[in-house]
Amino acid sequence: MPKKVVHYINQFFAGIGGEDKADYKPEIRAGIVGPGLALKAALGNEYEVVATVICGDNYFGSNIDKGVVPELLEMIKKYQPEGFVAGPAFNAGRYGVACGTIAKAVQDELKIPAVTGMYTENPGVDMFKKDIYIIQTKDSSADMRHAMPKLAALLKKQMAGQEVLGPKEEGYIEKGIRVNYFNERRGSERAVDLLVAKIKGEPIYTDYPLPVVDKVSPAPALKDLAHARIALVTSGGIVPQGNPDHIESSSASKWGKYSIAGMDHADKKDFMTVHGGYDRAFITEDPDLCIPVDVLRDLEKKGFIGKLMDYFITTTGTGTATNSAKRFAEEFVPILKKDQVDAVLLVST
Amino acid sequence: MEKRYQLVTNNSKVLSEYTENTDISVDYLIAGNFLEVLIRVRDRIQSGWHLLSHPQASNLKPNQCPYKTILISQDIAAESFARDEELIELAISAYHKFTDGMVPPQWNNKANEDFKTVDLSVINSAVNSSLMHQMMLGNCK
Amino acid sequence: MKLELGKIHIHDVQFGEKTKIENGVLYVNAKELEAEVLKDDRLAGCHIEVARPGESVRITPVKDVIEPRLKVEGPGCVFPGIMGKVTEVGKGVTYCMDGACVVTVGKIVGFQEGVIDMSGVAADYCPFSKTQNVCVVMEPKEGLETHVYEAAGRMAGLTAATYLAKALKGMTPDETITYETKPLLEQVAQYPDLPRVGYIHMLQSQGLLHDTYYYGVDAKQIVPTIMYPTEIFDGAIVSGNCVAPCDKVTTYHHEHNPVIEDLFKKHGKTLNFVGVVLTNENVFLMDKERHSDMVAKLCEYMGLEGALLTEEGYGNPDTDLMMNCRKVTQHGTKVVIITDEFPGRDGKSYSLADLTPEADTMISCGNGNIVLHFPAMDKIIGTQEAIEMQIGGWVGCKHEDGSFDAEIQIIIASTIANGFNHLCARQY
Repeated sequence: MPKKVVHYINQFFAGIGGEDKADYKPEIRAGIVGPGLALKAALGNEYEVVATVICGDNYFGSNIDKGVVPELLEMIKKYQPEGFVAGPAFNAGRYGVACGTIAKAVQDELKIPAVTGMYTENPGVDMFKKDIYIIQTKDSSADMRHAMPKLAALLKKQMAGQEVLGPKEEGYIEKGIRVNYFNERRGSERAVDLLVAKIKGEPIYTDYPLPVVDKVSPAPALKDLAHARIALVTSGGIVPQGNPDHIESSSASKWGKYSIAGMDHADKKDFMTVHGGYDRAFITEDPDLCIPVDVLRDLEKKGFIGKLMDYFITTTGTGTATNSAKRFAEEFVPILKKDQVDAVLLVST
Repeated sequence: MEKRYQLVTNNSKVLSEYTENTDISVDYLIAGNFLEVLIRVRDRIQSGWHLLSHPQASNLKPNQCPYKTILISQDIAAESFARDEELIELAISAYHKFTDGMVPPQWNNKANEDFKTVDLSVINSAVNSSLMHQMMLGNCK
Repeated sequence: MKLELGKIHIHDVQFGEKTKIENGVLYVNAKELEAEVLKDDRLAGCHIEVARPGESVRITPVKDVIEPRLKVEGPGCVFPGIMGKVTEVGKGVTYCMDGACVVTVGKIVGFQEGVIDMSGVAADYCPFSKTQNVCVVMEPKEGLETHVYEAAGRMAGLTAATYLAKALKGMTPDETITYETKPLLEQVAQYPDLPRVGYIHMLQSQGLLHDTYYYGVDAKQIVPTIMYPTEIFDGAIVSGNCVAPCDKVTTYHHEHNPVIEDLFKKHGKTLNFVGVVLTNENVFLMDKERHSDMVAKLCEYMGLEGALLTEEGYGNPDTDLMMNCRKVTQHGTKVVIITDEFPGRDGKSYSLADLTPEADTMISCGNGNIVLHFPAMDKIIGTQEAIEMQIGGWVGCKHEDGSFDAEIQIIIASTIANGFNHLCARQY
């Protein structure tokens, strides 16, 4: 009896459509679909991909708190899988988050091994690397033929109950879990040699890499608020009605600059929110709750602040890779500087 | 006049020992657990108090010892506000690291009494520190 | 200071009519030893048992482990300030019983600490599964106050070690190692082309069951100072720490400080080992600031190009560790830290209690939260009844057949943060 595996993919890899079909509702089909072919080949004869579960990336992202995971688990359970593969998602952010979420849920609830694959900068990596094995892939799906065999190999090892070795051997992204082993030499002996090497400027290593803490020092305080030019920047996903630039509801790949000239408040006829990470009802009714144009105009009139800039900068924060966020700032900060903005009111959610 | 120093604790032995102390008040969380002591200290720090003893003192980990005592001051600071915040938050996350998902231990009376004794001794080592002693004597600015 | 350490190899321990060493066997007159220990009337009773490597024996709860040593030539005695006068030590000739230890066993407090398994999977994690152990099992007098009992327990171990050390008199060492550290300027001049290296040794100092003694002085009361490395071989530093067994620095580990031993191995070859800076781990935050400033000052003053840094304990000491690392590095001395880790049961949390960017070069002594299955043993020295209350254990961890599951935290010195063991952790 071949061992049963279920595969999760999104609307794009299922051949259903691209961004336009990202709202595709969950569906499960018997057998393989799309890259399932590569998975089947990599798994070999003793395994069978009995079903492929498909879900649109936007549908998944918007329904994380509305039961999409239990819904998918029910579908998956029916096939009684002994192993589970999601993606690989490469650098697609929403797909990566979906793969990570569903793989973890399968592992935790169905108690079977699960594996996925992503590019290191995919936001799903930081969110899920500790909990599930994420094979490291390149950033485009052209890497499928190299990536899929690694996913299959790692899944088979887990399903067979074999010992999973380190990230370098197995190809997964470092989970950040500390695992004991007995070194050939005692710690103090290694420490002495390491110290001499460090003094001499020779190559050194550390047994325990410190967690990366990206500390940004705050800018010095404003001295003269009454003459300061203030700009509004938000990661709350506020966009003009209709979202003309198609800023994503999560894992944003872009930011926008929109006018609030002549407005004394942010009105729902002009603005909406696309952010997929919070309950939008309140802000949909009153966008000032996210971009406080009303309060700032008032303060401007009273001379408390010098000037509110006639535009605001916006993007969606949820699921957005920190590298993307960095890049957005590098792009819009020059605009703020050219306009001699003294301070930014940063509104998050 | 309000006392400048305070012990935040859930250890009745600390209360007994310091209840009449002229310089140190005791904020005794009568039914509080280890975590509640840490949270109370965090609240104090955010209201302007300063840490004088390390919140993770003693090798007895949070999942082993039920008692915790921390020394704080209204106006004398050893560290910056940001650092005090960092120390108390590290203590709170260490608490969760050692206790989340674990079955809490069950101690008999003797064990509890001994934990109180050790906790009292550890905080005494801070209060009896040479510098602290001088600070209290000199009621320094 | 120059010290010749003569090692008499012991490969077996037996009870005998007379306490002596013959052909590498330590014979112990149990009655005499018991009487010696019971001179301290704070103890109601004690009995002696032996445990040998490979036996199906478990020793618990363990308080301290001490290696018997005898001062043969030179000033002072072993364990100065405690077993004799405070006269400075570290010079002359000292003999040690290499491969034999005194292990003190007994309940000091209601919660218990420390397991040594002489065989089985847990034995791999403990240095004392490989030594011939003379176990002093103590019972305190009723109603003895905890501080008093701790002191009595500590003295019992040192007394036993001192008594046994008399057997070293007149022996011929199987092996002798000569250690020498010259006064600073001479030492620097001796190897001018080798990097000047020191060792910053942090001593546990937090209160009852968390103390260390230097020439009998409670480490809480010291400010950072300099020690000749050889002083430690004569027992100048003694342990009063009985909690968190896995990273407890036993008196044996002070006597056998692996950093000092390994620095000496490379002394004159790849480095110039200049001296030791002693400091403590007080819980009063201002003490930490003051002492880390002083440690950095001493390193700079001694012209150290590099320093090894070790601590004892978890939590509060990690802050001293980071402060020392940061300030010493900023003063121009390169630092390598040796430490153990507690990333939680699932291995996913941050391993230490504090951090600083300068702590970029660390040697790990292992993850203390890993769970091990401890097999049932034929014989228990002490008592196993409180396992569920020991650090690393939990309610329900004990099984009917005498085996139990526990974190390796429960094993004496399993993750000792001075690099004595081969245990290490890596990132998966």
